[in-house]
Amino acid sequence: MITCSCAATPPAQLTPAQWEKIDAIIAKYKDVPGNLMPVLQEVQEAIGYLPPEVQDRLAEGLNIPGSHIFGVMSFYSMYTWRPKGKYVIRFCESPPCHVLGAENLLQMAQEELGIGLNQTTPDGLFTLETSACLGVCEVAPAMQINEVVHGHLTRERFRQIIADYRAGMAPDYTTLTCTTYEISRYKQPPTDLVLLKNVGKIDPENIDDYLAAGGWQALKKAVTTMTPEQVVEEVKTSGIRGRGGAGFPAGLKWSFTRPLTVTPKYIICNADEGEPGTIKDRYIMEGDPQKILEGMAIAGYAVGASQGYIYVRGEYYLSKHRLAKAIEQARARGFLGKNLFGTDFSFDIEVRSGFGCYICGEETALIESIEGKRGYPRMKPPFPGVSGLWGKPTIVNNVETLASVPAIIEKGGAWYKSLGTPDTTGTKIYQIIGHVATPQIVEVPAGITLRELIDTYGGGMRPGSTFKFCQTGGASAGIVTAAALDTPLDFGSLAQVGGALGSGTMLVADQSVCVVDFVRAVAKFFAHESCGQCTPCREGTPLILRTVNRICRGQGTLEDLALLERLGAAMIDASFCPLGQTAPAPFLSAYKNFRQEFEDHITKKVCAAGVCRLG
Amino acid sequence: MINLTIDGRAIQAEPGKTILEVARENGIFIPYLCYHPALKPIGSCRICVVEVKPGPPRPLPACATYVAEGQEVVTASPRLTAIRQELMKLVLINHALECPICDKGGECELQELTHALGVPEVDLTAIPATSPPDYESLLVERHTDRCVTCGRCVRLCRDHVGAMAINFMQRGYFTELGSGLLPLDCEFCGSCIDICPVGALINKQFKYRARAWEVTKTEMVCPFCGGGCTYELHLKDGEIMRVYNGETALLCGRGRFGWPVLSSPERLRTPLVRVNGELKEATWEEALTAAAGGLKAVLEEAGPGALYGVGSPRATNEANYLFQKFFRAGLGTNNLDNPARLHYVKALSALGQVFGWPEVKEADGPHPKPPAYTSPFTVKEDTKGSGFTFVLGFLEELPRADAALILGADLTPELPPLGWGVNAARQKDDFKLVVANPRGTKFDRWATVSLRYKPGAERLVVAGLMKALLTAKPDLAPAVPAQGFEEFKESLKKFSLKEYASRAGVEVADLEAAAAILAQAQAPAILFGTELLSQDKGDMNALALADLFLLVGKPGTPGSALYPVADKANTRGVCELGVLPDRLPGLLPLDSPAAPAFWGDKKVAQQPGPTLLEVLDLLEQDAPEAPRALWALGGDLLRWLPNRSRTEKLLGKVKFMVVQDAFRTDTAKLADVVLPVAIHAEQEGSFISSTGRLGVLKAALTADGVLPDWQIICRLASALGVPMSYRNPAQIFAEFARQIPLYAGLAPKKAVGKTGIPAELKGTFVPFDLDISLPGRRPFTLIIGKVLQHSGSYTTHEPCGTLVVTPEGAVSLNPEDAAQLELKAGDKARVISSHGEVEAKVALDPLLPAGVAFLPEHFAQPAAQMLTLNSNLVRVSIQKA
Repeated sequence: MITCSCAATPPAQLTPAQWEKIDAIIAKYKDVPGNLMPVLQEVQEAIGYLPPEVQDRLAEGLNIPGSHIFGVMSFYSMYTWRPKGKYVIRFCESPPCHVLGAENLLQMAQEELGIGLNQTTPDGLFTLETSACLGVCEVAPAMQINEVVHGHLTRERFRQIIADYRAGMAPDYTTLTCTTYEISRYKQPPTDLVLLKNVGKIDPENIDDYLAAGGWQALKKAVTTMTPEQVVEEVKTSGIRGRGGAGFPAGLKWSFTRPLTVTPKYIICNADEGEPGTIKDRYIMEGDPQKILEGMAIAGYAVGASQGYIYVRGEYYLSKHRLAKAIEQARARGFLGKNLFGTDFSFDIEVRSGFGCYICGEETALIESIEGKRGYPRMKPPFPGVSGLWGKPTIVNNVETLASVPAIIEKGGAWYKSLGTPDTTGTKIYQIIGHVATPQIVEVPAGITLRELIDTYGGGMRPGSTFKFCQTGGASAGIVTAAALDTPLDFGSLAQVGGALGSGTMLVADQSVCVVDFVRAVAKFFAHESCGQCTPCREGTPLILRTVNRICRGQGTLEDLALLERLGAAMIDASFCPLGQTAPAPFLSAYKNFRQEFEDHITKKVCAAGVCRLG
Repeated sequence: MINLTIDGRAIQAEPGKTILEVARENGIFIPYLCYHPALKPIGSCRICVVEVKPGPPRPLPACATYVAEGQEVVTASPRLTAIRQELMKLVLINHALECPICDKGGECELQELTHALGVPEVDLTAIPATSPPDYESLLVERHTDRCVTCGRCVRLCRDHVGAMAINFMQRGYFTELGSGLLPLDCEFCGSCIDICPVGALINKQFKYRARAWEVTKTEMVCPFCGGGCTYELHLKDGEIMRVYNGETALLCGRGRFGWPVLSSPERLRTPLVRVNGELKEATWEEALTAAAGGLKAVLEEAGPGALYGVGSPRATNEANYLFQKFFRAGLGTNNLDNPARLHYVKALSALGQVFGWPEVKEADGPHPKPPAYTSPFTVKEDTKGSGFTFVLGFLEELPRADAALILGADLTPELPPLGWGVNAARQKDDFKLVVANPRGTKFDRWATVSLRYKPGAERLVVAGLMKALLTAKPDLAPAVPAQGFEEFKESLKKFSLKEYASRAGVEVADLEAAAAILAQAQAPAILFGTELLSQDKGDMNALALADLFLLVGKPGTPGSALYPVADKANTRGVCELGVLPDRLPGLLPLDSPAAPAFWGDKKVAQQPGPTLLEVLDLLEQDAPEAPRALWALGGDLLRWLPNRSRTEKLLGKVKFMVVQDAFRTDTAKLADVVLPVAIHAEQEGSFISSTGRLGVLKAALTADGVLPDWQIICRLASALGVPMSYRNPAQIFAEFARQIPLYAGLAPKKAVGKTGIPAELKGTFVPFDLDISLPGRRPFTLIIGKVLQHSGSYTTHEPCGTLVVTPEGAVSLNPEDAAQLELKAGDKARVISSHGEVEAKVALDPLLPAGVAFLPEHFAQPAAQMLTLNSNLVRVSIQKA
């Protein structure tokens, strides 16, 4: 039982002021549906951790069983029931950071701090942890200290940052303009932008800027001049496919929910940007949050929902901060709340936060999380559009999808459709990361080629780098070789070459990357993020990791490769949700494309890239 | 019906069923692990995947895929075999393969599955889970390293038991079964044991006592409360090894762990006869002779009216029927009653006033030679039922209610299956729950509206609800034809809604919200228990709820019903079989033309006897009609009657007393002859559960020195000149069932009123008393009621498993009250009322509001009834002892 590890922790000594804070948080959320996650988050922020004494108080105050509280807490990796240092350092281990040397840097950090992983420096200042993904791949390799991200890490930089923190110069994240880079640094296309139009140009914390840029006019147009059905029709006409990764037509999704008479209905903005390599939504949330709110309100009007939730991944502190501010201002100006534009349409939005859990990007797991539960995906059907949050019809759309909606309403679905390819209409934010000269995001009409993305926007390969492969769409998709460089980056074309558009991220790897080692990093990610609900994924993802680990250590056998293929087939066939169904894909496509490299590790004990220490 | 094929076989199936359900019904094997028929499927083990056309390219879980017209299902193919074998290997690498020391051996679903799927070898390895087993828990051993993460126990505990004591902890590969970092908050029902497919949860009572294949199984009704659950007794060498429910897995702690009461050293094994003022062991012959002699002397001296009988809610229908027959047919009196007078009978009387007493006309029969424990009447087309039986709820239908009001009852302790029923109902997204109780209960967690009213203010709450209902919807009309509505509405005008709320101590808005739920409900259920009925005005409380149901109820809609708690195994039966001074078997009135001819053409006496409470008054007044002799069929009167010192004094006035009981109770100690009875599986017979279900006991055990009640009654009655002779209880059942058309269609596991008799309902609104004053000025209001682990005093005898969890009775106090009294948990406190005093250990309960204390009724010490006058509510002072 977990109790063993807890028994070693001394009883928490909280001050009366701390208990008062806890009670105030309980009182604030007592009657809020699905209050467990926000309460745990706020209490952890206030107290630093959630010891059993605090769990007991929450159990009583919220009338929630203790086993449920710990069941939820222990599911999300950012909760802690043991005290930690003043600054928690989270080193990103995701594949994009991994190919840029995260593993060595982590070793370095341990040396610099003089502590091991998950330990705290004797002065109580720093706790060193890893994170499966921080969502800041453009500055990989990266770490996050409390709310603030530090990228492009080297030993020198790390030393300097730690020295700054020790000297009391810890930055306040709310004063930063953005988490990583300002978008003005990036090369932009000559075409008009839809999604990133305002980003970097307006003050995201001032609604007047958004209004001056024509903001909230699309909602006004929809609510005052269109019927909900017309709005749905317009979005259908636009042909926009969901930007979260699955590419389901958004208008079609809305059209299923619109006619349902069940009330209330909900709009959920999926801002749990957890797919490794994916960083696009953060730019919109940090740079133009009002646009997302407007898109959600239009969706609410279209399907007949009056409440929206934005579920933001836990690590995106600045996004949460900006969204909360934006909601406050939009409410104050009457763009959210009751009877918008003098009509009987009412809509309001609440920000909810994930807390270190990739699976919560899956829409039904996300819904469970908002309900205050462990993020287990639900069985489909029923789909959320019919029975979602609290069993009610719920539209779950990605940030990018919803942020596209105001422009679709303003300029018309036909205009939107004229952009991009017939398969993937409109503009798309691509992310080009890895071994390119200038990792960045870019919004262009969908369908540019991988070559164009690398050469024009990624600044070409890094000096001395040659293209080896690209993992398309995120960690769960297949890898493609140079043969795919001229494939248009849309849903249909990429699927044909064994890749996937996914979130539109392209992780480029050069000759320094060992494909086996790369598969190991991806396997580690999935083993860490499997929710554990279904057998094939719970047991299969760590088994893939162990087996690939063996090969990387030079202890693999050819039978291991056969086993991975066999196991992969079973996981694809039998897993409950897309996580388990796609987790074997990176191995399977890497093995298909680089069979020799795998076999060389086993039979010749050779790692051509010189990455693996083959014992 | 839906047409589909499974493995090429054409099959017709009901819509809404899953492929797995349909396959099971048709004898087609699909392996599974996380599925259980009693649980909602979650499709997580994936072992039941099948290929479905039309459908996605991936195989689908049969447990969670619904049948559809034209579907082609393949349950076995090389692809499926490969998947299933792979999955089994993945399960096995993380399952501690310690089969020789695992008590699940022989009934392990994982073993069966490995065998059935022919898993040849496990060519995978994994880091084994390292969590040590938890041997510390009281009745259930946990071996997380054997857990296959199927989530059956988690779902059962969360969705049906409603405890959520166990949950999954951590995530992914490290997911494990646990209880969190707080102390285990478990109801110790052990239902998780029976639902676990492997040996991750082990019954400590059963461990290493028998192998699964060695036991003989006997199915019978659980005799511990009025829930009427059916379970299997697993016996080896004539001894109970365990109690098991393979069907729904649900049993409460009393049912599952209470059976060792059978072997309690406190059991009476020989009759006792008072000799020179002391009870001495005697043979049955001696004891029966002494009993008959003593009673005969009184009867001869003072006539048949001098003997009073107290039936027993623990005794079978057959024993109780014979008991009343002795009085009615033998003595020609109605001088009998039963201890449910203190609670359940009050509900019956209120229901009778509002909905009329039950009657069934034109039942077909009696047919000759029905099967055992089956009514000889059947329901035909023009059979008609009327009266309150047809507004009483059935357990099976409770999950279909779309709203429920639980008033004044801590539901699971009052009657565990009702608690489970409400939990099942709340699995529906649109289910609304109103919990009204002076103290917090488990169900507040799921309540849409919680009303925390002052103790004893039930009637004001109900009146307030009706006021709110009628204010919101003045033209609201009852669903069934009802009289007296206008006068009734007048009676509610006594107070304004605001006054009802403030007098009851609740918010107007909450009353309105609760009323709105009841008004909108399509199938509202109203549940209440003995805690509210045991008040001196318990009958008025029941009346208020019957009126409320008349107003908002939707009788005829499954789930919409009144659910009063009949707390003991046969509380409902003892009443329905006529152990009442004014009602005959079948609840017929004394002057009913259909009154049973018990004894040839002897007519039933038309004069009702005094009630149990009236008898005490008569004794107090030394009235000439006060009984001189008492024959009690079990039931410790001193323990259950309020104002214990008065009861003790008055029972002392009874000249001769015969008590049948399994234990030497305080009442038995006053008796002149004590006759030890068979209990549990030592006897055969039937019970009627709180929700009308006919349950049958099986005599699976040999009775050591004791006799079943019915045999004692036969022998004693015969000795008193009222010859009675039956072959077995089934013959007695057959005799009374011929006289009760109400039971038309009744058979084991079927429920009274749920046998397909069409009901013609009508009602009469009856105004109720609104005075809720509680006498006295002492600072605390003490509520005497039930706790989860105990059922009457039955389970308070060593070595009952329930005592491991709740070994004694404590007075519960709000922590702040306790702090003011300078009392800590475990301290001794004196609880003092105007009628008596007890000493009790203190327990702290934050669910109790300030000024309210709670004391369980079950224990010999502290003797709760020392404190009471005429109600289970009493004002008390509490001090440090």
